[in-house]
Amino acid sequence: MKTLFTFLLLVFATKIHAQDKLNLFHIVDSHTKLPIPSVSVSIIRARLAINTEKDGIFSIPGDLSAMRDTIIFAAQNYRVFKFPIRELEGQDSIQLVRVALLAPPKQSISKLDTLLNDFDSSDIEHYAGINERATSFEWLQLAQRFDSPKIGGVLKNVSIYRLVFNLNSEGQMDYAGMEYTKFRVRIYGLDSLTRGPGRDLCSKVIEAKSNGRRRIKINLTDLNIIIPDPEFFVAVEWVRDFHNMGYVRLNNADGLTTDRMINYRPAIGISPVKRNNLNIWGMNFKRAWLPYTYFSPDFTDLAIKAEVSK
Amino acid sequence: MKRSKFLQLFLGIILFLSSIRASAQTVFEGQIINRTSEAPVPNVNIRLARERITVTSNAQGYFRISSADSVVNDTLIFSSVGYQTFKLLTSVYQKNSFISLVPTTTALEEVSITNEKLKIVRLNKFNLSDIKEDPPGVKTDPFLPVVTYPFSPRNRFFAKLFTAPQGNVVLTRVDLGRRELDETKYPDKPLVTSHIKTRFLLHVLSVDPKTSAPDKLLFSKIINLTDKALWVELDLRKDNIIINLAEFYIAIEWMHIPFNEVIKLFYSPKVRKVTKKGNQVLEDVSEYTTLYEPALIEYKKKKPTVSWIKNHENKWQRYDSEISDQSREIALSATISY
Repeated sequence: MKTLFTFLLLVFATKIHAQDKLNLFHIVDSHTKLPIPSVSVSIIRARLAINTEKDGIFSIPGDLSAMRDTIIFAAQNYRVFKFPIRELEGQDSIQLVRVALLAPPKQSISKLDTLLNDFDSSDIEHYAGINERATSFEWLQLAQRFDSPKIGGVLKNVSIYRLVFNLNSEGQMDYAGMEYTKFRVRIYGLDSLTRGPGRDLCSKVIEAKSNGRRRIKINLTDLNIIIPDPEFFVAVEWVRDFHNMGYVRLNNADGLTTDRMINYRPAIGISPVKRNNLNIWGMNFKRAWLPYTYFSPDFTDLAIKAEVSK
Repeated sequence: MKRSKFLQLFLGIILFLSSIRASAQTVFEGQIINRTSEAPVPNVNIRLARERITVTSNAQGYFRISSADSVVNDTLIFSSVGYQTFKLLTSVYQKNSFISLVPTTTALEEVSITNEKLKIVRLNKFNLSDIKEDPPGVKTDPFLPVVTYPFSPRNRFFAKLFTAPQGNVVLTRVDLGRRELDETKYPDKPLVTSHIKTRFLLHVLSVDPKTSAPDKLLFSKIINLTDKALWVELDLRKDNIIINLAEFYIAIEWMHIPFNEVIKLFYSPKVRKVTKKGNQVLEDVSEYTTLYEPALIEYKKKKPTVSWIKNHENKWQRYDSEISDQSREIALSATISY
């Protein structure tokens, strides 16, 4: 597999930049020296963001010392690593430092569960993650804010609705195979300064898969995620890799031509229920959280439900 | 022990199957019109006989009733005072179609109580037969009665010229023929996301005396549609729109906002892998495009009409149908009184 990957890289590199040097990096855990899978890599000024494959290998073609841009490496449970891209010159590995996460306190026992952000899923008509008018979707994560029914409550499960085209009764056009996706779910506490997503509430990587299904329900009971703040966030983290890659056609400003751009699945539903405040936050390529206003003022929430024990 | 495990598995399968049944839904929707006058009929009771679910049609005569079953073997009953009750087997139901009800003879003829001197005229009138789409698989020769046309995102404005018999008229109503972007009822058509609510701007414009293009803005209103009715009636009596000259334009302005977005699915090849010989192995992946509601309907032109669109340089230009073999016009009519 690895040889195939290297071979692919070689073919890719020789095809596009025959004269360029290919800089290959291994992203590893600083302590164990083992590769970290699906690390998010963003290059700010070039407006690029991808995820590595499982082997944590990442490559940049060209002369690194001549590049004037900033690169960010980020993975769950690791400290974000940000520096000028030219500093990568002469290196072959990037070591990410693991952040210690405190063990959660013992869970309070209760049989009362509360479903938060409920809506009728058949009314979902809008989706985030495809494009924003004439620009492509340039966000790493989108988070839904929830009011916790009780501090110290346990997050039982989350249901995320995504774009899938239903087939009609004749089974016309089998797109189901194309709509397969894999993404990550992040649970955050409240950042009391920004009122946006704060620290991670779960140290385990939650991977969600969907094989053509619209609703993805993730059971979190075993993870014992305790909500310490009056508000919390459930986020979808896109895995911007080859597997999730599709396309989007954008209308250019001239109104006559279109451009085909790369797009990463899934597209996440927008809740049909409008609330008083905007509850969607987005993480941009600089890894900063901002209120996600694209669907404002008509829509305020993502189509994500959460169940918390009271 | 073995037997109880088998029983558990069996029960599990039964539960699973019943949950599939419960989650599937079938939606019936359409617009009810008066067969004689072709006006939408509000407040019609629509009942799914066996399931005993009842809904009422809205002001546009539009209804939407959902059955809990995925395969429905039932009868839809349409009943309203003043109309003959109409029964429709769900097996012959067509997606988002028109249902025409026959007025009963005992019903009073439609009377409009107005000032006797007031004349009401519907300019560029279109009928139900003009905007009714052919059922799937049926092709009327030599031409299809209706060809529908979704506007591409470059056309933000569409304006049509109306000529009243005199000046100083009151614009009381605008009628509009819409089409559904959802074409799943036709084979080989791309799939789109469902969309019920739509918002657009309605303008009344004066005529430029030199170029005869649309000129000054006389009136503007935001229109919010909350159903999928294909015949849209816009009552403007309360807006008190007085037009001084006999000629005027009515324009539709599309709002390119997320609210009106519809996602259309195409597919495109992506390189899955490269073989050792250097050959590319392709796979089809999704390619999305965004369209904006509303989509209007074109029909065969009765009289020559003058229409304009605004191009990407924000200049008005004459509009010709994309179907060049015959003349067509957009289903847009204006009712005036004077």
